[in-house]
Amino acid sequence: MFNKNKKETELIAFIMDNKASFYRFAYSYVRNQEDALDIVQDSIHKALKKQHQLKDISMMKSWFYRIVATTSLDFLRKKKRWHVTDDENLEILASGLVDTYKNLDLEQAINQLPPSYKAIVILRFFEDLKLEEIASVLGENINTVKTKLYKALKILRTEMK
Amino acid sequence: MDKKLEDMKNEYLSIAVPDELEKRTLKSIKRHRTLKRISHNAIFLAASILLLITTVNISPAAASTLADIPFLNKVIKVVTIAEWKETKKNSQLNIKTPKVTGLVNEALSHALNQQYVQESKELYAKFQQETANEAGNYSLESGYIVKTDDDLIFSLGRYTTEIKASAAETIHYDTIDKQNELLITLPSLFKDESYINSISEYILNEMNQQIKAETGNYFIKNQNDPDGFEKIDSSQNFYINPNHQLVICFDEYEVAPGYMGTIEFPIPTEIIKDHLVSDLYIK
Repeated sequence: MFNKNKKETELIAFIMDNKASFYRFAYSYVRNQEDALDIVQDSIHKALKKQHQLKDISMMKSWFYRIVATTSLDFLRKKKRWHVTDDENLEILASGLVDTYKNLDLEQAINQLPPSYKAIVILRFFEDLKLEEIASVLGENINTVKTKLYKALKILRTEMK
Repeated sequence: MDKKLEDMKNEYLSIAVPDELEKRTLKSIKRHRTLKRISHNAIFLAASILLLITTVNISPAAASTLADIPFLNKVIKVVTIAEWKETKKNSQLNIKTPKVTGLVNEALSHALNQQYVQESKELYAKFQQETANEAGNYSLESGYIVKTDDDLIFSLGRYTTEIKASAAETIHYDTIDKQNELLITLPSLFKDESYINSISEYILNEMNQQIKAETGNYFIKNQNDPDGFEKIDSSQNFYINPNHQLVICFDEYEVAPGYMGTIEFPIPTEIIKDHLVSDLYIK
């Protein structure tokens, strides 16, 4: 009982300390404020409810990012269901939802990347996660992560010449 | 390239974090604590019930005394012993406390009633606490429904609905064997633990069909959602309906998005009949 409470206390402290990072990470998937807030809230709810599944406290960071990633993907998948128009038109229609950016070049460069590549770049360079942690966030083999990271950098390099 | 990455990092870190994040985070944590408290009560109840069942089963004297009493099955009643209503500025409270009477096994009815009163008191205290220092809107409603009442079976469900920006509903069922005056638990219905898989398989299948037909949406465990539903708990919430079918229940948010509410799956007897101890309760 004691351990359980201790774990929960640690988890809550971790959430409070890192909520801005989770928000940004969710935002990088859904690209608007309301949805990103919903996803963070959902993720916290899931994490607290399923905390018994977190066996090793040192895995908390990658475990939580994984929840945010799956919740975001789930959200995007559900949203996709409602598409009645083709993707090209939808992007034009949906552009009203996306918040605007100051530096379009950089933003666009990273958003050109396929979602899993983008997540790897964000987690590795912006959130300073280790490659092993990223592998466990995305549920992928570490070698796959390395390859994708390498490819992502290559794409970025050509994009930004 | 490093310079570019550095720029991109700064760009990324400058994504504005809205003030609302703090509020939403706290809300999520608070809701979790509330739900946890409610489920702790359920665990306590289950433990006390187990003790009672053991007592009755171990003592042949008690069991035979009970068996000798005829027309016992007619007299179980549920009455509302207390109804608390309160309306504050933007908040509402409505708690109905049930009381089970007519059981000869006083220990059983006493334990149940004690538990019901205790839970109502806790809800009331919670309401006072919630509304004492917050100007927000808050509504708490608690009551009970009799799902089944026939010669053999008595199923009583108690629900709590809490509304505060979003709503959370929980419901807990107690099912009593009226003739033997026993509280029926899910494991006690079956020979061994194999019922867990049979029932879970059926429910998963149902969920998938509903998702396919777009009549429902569920959290199912898969690669992308490792936290989704996989199987029922060995003492999953349940009741027995008037057709003597087993009905498996889930609280709001437990296996499905909130808009689905509390979830019920009637289990066709066909699926579990090989695991049942007898066809006395479930036909």
